This record gives sequence, structure tokens and C-alpha cells, in this order.
Amino acid sequence: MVIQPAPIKEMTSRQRVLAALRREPVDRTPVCNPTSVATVELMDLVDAPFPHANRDPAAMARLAATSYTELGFDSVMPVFSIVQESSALGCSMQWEQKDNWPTVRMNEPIWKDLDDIRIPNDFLTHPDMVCVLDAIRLLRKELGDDVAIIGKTMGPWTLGYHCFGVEPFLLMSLDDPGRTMACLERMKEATVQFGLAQIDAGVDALTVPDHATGDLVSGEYYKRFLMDMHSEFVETIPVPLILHICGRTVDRMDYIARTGMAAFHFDSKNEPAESMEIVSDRISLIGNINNPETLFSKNPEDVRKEVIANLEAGVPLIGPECAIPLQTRIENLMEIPKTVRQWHNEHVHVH
Amino acid sequence: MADIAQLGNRIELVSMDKHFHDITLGLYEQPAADGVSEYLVHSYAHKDGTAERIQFIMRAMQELGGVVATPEGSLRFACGNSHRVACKRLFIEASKLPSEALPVPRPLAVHDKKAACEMTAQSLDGGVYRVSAESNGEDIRRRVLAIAGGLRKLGEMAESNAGDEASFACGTAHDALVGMLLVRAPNVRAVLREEDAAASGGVLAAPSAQTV
Repeated sequence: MVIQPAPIKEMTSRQRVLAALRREPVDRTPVCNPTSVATVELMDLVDAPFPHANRDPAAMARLAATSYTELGFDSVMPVFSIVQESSALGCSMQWEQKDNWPTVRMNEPIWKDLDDIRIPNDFLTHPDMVCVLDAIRLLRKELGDDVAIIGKTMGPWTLGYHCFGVEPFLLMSLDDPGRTMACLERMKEATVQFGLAQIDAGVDALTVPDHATGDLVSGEYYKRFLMDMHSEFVETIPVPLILHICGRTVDRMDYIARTGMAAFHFDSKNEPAESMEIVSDRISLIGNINNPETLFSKNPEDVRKEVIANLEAGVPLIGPECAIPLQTRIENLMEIPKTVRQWHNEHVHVH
Repeated sequence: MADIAQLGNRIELVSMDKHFHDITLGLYEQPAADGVSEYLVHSYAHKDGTAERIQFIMRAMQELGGVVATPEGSLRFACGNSHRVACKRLFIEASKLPSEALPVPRPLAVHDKKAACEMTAQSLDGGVYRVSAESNGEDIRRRVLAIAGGLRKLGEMAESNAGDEASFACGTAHDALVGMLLVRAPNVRAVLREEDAAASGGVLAAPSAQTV
């Protein structure tokens, strides 16, 4: 991020997010939510509880809008979960209830081999896909151009976990890397189709969660299986892309920075300063306020400290590290934009 | 942002009220002008009957735990202490009751299945409670100590003199509160498990960390 000495004309939230994703000057650091800030209290506020808000476009849009209208973030994100595509691909689903996340029953895999992989012809007209697309249209109609609307399309590695099961997919990657690569090539079609459809519906940027997470997959694995494919997404999907991978990922940040992705949504297991040093000015970083401890269990003062640590490290877009726990306190979430604004007010003469 | 209330710190949450349309209930704490902690139950739900449900829970907290209502409609302990941990438990227990229930203070006695006898919490001077059993024996003594320990954990109380006692820092008696806590004190691990489950339920796990 560049904060210029001369004051920059006040930007809209949308302009601010998009400029930061392009690594252009901003009037202040945007507060961005590339995954989800839905909570059970916000669900009550707009009468959009889970699982309804994951399957009904109007409820999905109402809940997503609270990120901007109630919390003061600069972006909205209607795709709260990571399961919409997998539902459309035919995975066995557990939609859960208001206070829990929908999940794919990965112990009931739908594919075993390369030839099983089929992206259905009606993939984009499946109700769980249409729900997202209609919610994006509603948000654009309701919020206009004031706020950045971010969509989400799952990467092929995550789809591999959902459709093959985590263990079979990882074992295949060890036993037969060539076949794994071929599977990823087929599954990426779902990523691209859904991404393009969301652009048509009106998103400004897309998050691409691809769970080659630090706990199970090494940096070298990322390079071997995903780096080129992620570069290809940048060529094929014409909006800024935000890659999301949970966990400790400094061992692959250099590779990620080579992909051309606009940004990387990074976990609090990575120090802001060390992460900024690795990516340099090749890619923006978004994050990395800790969820399970800070936002969920601690107080606004603790949130404030983490936000300031990220601002001082020069992280260009501030937000939670991942989808926040559904029971997170609203006052903790509101502290993020509040701190960012105060910090900029205090530092305006310094820069 | 006009819809977000300034209610103080949310210290406890019931994600889904099984007795009223699965609405979410929060317990908020804010210091009053005299510095004493005051509590408020709040929900962001707009469903008809939400206000009545909240009123019922706040009334139930008064009956079950002996908190008193302020003229402004908040709750506080008359002794002036926050008793925060006990109040969180009080809120959870009150929200488990249907609105048709008639909450009454619990007695200072509970049947302990493991000891197969009645356990009593006797109120002594200075906010001290002593747990005793109607029977004797080494195993029963261990249960007495465990229940007193449970009371201390659930009520944020201190051990005074002997392991079979629990005392409030405020030095005043809270019979209703102890009666309510005594029901859970014999199985405090179950309470902690319940709290852990509530805390972890709403966390989105990466596919590699999921259990299904």
C-alpha cells in the first residue's frame, strides 16, 4: 500500500478496496472481508438465519449487507460457506442449523477416479449456485457502487477434498501426481465457470479459497500442483482474485506472489511483517486478525492491538483471517473499522 | 449502523433459544454510575413476542439467582459485586426454561447420584457456604469436596478454611444463587463440556480439519 504525502480525495468503499487490490494509493486502509463476517446476532437483526441464508438469495443478500451497513466494512461477501459448488456437484450435504456451518460429508465421496469427474451441464443453474448469483444481483441493486462486492469460487484442491475425501485425495497426490494433476485440470472448470458467472452477476473481485493448508500441504506441493493453475485463473477470470489458504503459509507466499493474484488472504499464524517482506509489492495482503482467540474470545482492546500491528506492518487491507466464528461479538467486529479510521486520523501528518 | 445497540460487553450468548423461535440471546454487562456491574438480556430478533421472552428470562434470573431489577430495567446483585461467572450461569439456566414455567428458587440441597445421598449447602456467616452429606464415609467425603469445588468453580468462589467450603468475595449470603449452582456442582465437567461445545460449534474448519 502507498499512502502518499498529499491527501487523497475521499474514496468510496468500493474505490478504496479496488485501489488497494491494485496496490494503488488509497485515502485510508480498507477493511475487507474476503470470506464471511456472519454472526448469529446479525442473522437475527435482518431475519436471515443459517441455513436459510445459505440457500435463499434474499436472506443471503440481507445478511451479507450487514458487513457494510452495520459493521462498517468496505466490502460485502454473500458466499458465507465453502460448500455451494460441492452441493451443485452432487456431494452429500449437512446444512446444519443457525449456529453452525454447513459441511460436505467427505466420508461419502462422490468420485474415486479421474473418469468420475463430471461438471454437470446444469452446474450453474443448480439452486445453490443460483442463490449466490441472485444474491450478488440483489446486493448490487441495493448497495449500488458504494461498496465492493466480493464473490467466492472454490479452487480445485478444495473441490478435490470435498468430492474425493481428504485422505483419498492426498494419497492420490502422493501415489500418482500425474493423475492428481489431471483431476485438478478437470475440476478447475467448476472454479472458472462459477467465477465468470459471478462476474456477470456483478462482483468486483473474487476470493478463491484453495485449501492447500499449511497443516497438510507443503510449500513445494503448492508450487508443484497449484501455482501455475492459479496463474491461469488470473488470465481467465477478469477481476482481481484473492487467494485464501488457511494456516502457516510463509513457505509458499513467494510462489503465491508469482501467480499474479491481486491479493493473498493470510492467516494469523503468519506474522504481518514477515509476510509483507516476502510478498513485497508483488501482491496485496489481506488479514490477519485472529479469529478463535482474538475476535471470538477477547475484547475490543485486543482487537485494536492486532489491527494496529497489521497497519504498522503496512498490510494493505485489514480484516479477519478467515470466516469468523458465528458467535463472535459484534463489538469486536466493529472495532476493526473503528481502529483503522482512528489510526489514519492519528497518522495523517506523518505520511 | 443505527441498529447495533450500545449495551456494554457481551459476556454470554445463547445462540438458539429452543423455547422461542431459535432466536439468539446475549447477556450484556455495563457498569452503572456507582461502578456496580449491571446486566441486560438482549436479542436483535424482531419476532413478535421477543420482548416478552426477554422479560421472562430476566424475571427468571431474579427468582433463580436473587439478582434485583433496577428502575432502568437492568439487573444487579444487591451486594454490589459483579459475580460475573455466576451470573453467566444464571442467564444460561434461565434461558433453558420455557416461558410458561414458574421459576422458583432452588433449595440449598441436591441429591447426588454418585454418593447416593442428599448434599446440603449450609449458609454460614460472611457469605460462606459449607457442603455436607447426610451420610458418612470416605467416598462420600470425596463427593462433598468435589461438590464444594464445583460450587467454587461455577460461582467464582474461594475456598475458606476447609475444602468443603465455598465463599463469596462480597461476604454476603446468596442463597438463591447457591441453590441454582448446586444443581450443576455435582457434575461440573459436563458444564465445562457444554461450554466448550458451544464455543467450538460456530467455528468454520478448513476441509482438512473437518470431522465429517
